[in-house]
Amino acid sequence: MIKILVVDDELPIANLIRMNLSRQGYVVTCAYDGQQAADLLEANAFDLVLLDIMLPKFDGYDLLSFIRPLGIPVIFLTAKADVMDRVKGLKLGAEDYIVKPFEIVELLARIEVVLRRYNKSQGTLQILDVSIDLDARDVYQNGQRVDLTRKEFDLLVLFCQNPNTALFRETLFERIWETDYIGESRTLDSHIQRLRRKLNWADRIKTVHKIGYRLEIPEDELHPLEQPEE
Amino acid sequence: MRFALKISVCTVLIVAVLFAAFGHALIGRSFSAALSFRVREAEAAYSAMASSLEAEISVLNMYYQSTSPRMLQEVLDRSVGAANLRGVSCALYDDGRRLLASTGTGFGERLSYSELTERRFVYSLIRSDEGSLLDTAGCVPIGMDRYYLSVRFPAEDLFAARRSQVAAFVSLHLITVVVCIGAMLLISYFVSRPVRVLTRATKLIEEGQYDVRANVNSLDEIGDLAMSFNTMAEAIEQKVTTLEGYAKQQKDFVASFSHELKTPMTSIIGYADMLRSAELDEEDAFMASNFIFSEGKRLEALSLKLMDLVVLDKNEFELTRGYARRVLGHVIAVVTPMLEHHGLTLETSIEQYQILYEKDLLLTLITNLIDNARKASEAGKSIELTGRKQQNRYRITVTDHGIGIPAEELSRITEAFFMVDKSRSRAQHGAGLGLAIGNRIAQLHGSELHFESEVGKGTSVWFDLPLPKDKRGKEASHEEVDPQD
Repeated sequence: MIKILVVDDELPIANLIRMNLSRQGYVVTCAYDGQQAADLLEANAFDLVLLDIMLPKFDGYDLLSFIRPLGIPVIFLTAKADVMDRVKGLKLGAEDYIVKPFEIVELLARIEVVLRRYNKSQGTLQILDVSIDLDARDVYQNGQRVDLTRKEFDLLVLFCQNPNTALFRETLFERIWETDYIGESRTLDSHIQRLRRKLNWADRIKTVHKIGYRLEIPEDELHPLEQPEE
Repeated sequence: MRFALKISVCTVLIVAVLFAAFGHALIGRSFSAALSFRVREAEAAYSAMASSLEAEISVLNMYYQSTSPRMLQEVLDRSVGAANLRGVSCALYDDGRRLLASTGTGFGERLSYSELTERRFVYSLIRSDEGSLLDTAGCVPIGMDRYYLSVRFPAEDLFAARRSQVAAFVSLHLITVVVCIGAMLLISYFVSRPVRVLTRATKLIEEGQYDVRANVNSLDEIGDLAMSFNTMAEAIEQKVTTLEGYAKQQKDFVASFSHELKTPMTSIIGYADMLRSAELDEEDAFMASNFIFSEGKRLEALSLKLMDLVVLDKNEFELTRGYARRVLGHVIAVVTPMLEHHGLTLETSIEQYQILYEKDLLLTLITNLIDNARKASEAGKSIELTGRKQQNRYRITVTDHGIGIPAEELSRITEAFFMVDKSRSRAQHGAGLGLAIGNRIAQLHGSELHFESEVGKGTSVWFDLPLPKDKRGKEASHEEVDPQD
């Protein structure tokens, strides 16, 4: 069970992050100012802190120097987009720096990366009969190795990290191909086709009309499998 | 150094030329004086020789009736010997100016002087390598015959004296010029020092060190210039500081603005994305759409307030005259129901007076201040609105008995996007621009917002309005009956 502390004085944003992270099986606690965050950090153990910079009482930088000795990775989450602010944040020892406004998919991916770096993620994803080794980039179905290309692998990971969520074509292009979606979708469609065929998941990866694709997993199959240690 | 060099070169040139001219004139005069003295001496010697020669030749003529060249030579030798003059040589010419006899070399076969008459003495200087000579000549009539006598006196000493004078003068001149160059370089270095100091200060200011001053203490024109320069630098430094302040304010404003913009954007995008991507249960869907709505409202408030601020900065407003009770009456009518709704009471005490104001702006400001007072107060408390004439101003004060403002926050309270209690302000859709706008409005009326506050006891905020220029206002004010009073 991975515990994440979200520190943001904006209630709507803190709540937004909490809702999305909870859906992924993380346990989320919110703090709305520096003092409250420090108190929570003293009393509880966390695996990751998402930290805003402009906070009442003490700001994010102060809080970061308080967190550093605890060895908890920190991701800054702030509206300060200035390069100097990013450099300062990263130099002080933050693992990542995400500028608002951000997209949830991106936030989840970056959290995953940081957790894996700290070996706090299990390194494998388990969805139904498919298990994904994120470090070795191998996929097994019922113990049988499935041969996937790089893009197919990335697509599969993205779907498994966001089950039951409609992933928009734009989002898929941005995340997997790292280019802007320009209306051309053949590439994406053919990758999805191949992925469905290789995993025999034609009924799992659903086409959402005019939007994109969604991996559908029954609710009761979801959390226990994704968090096998729990 | 160029200026110093110019002064030095000019001065040295002038000194050198003048000194040379004076020296030349002086040596020339001394030479000609020596020469004329020498000529007078020579004339005397010549006369003596001519007389003795005349006498001797007259005697010879009496004895021998004629003279031979040999006899004349002897006579000449004798008379030179008699004159006892060293280095003197002489020659005798006949009537036809042909050489008869001479006691030295160098005399021509014919006498070169042409215009010689009786008793006339002419002279010229002969310069040669063996030594310069003073050549004199004259006509010596003896009996019926006419002879010409030419005597040459040594004159080398005159020239030698002049040469040594020139040599001495040249070395003196050189020393003078060298000393002059040194002195002028030194003087001009010190004279131009303040100029260099000024130049250096100008360069530094040009490079952006606006706090540099020229350290010149002389009491002359350059000192004056330095003083003016320092005054100018002072003015520039102040101006630059002010401009930098403005620029920083602008930058801070933009930074705060983008922060204020991005924060609700993040929520709106995030919740909207959740709504469109995932199947949320009813409660979560409501919460998400509610957040989208409230954050959208926040953006709307921000954009409206921002428009107000832009309009206030751009436009010139004209103040019109009116009665205090009438204009404040409008405010009271608007805010009273709202205050009653929150369980607050408004106590008013307004002195009737004619004032100058821009109606819409003034209403916005006072409504805003009362609204702030309302937000700070709990139900059951009262808010006071007072208007008093103070000397030549009309002061409007809004007082509440609410939570107050911490002393360290008071000075920043009129900054754009500054909020004392962010979460509280957010809950009320505050954009943090209300008091920035209010302060602008007070400034357009020639005043500012002044705050007095104590945490837990309440806040009092006041500003002044101008009065109409003429005195009619006061008389009229007492007669006026305000229907809303």
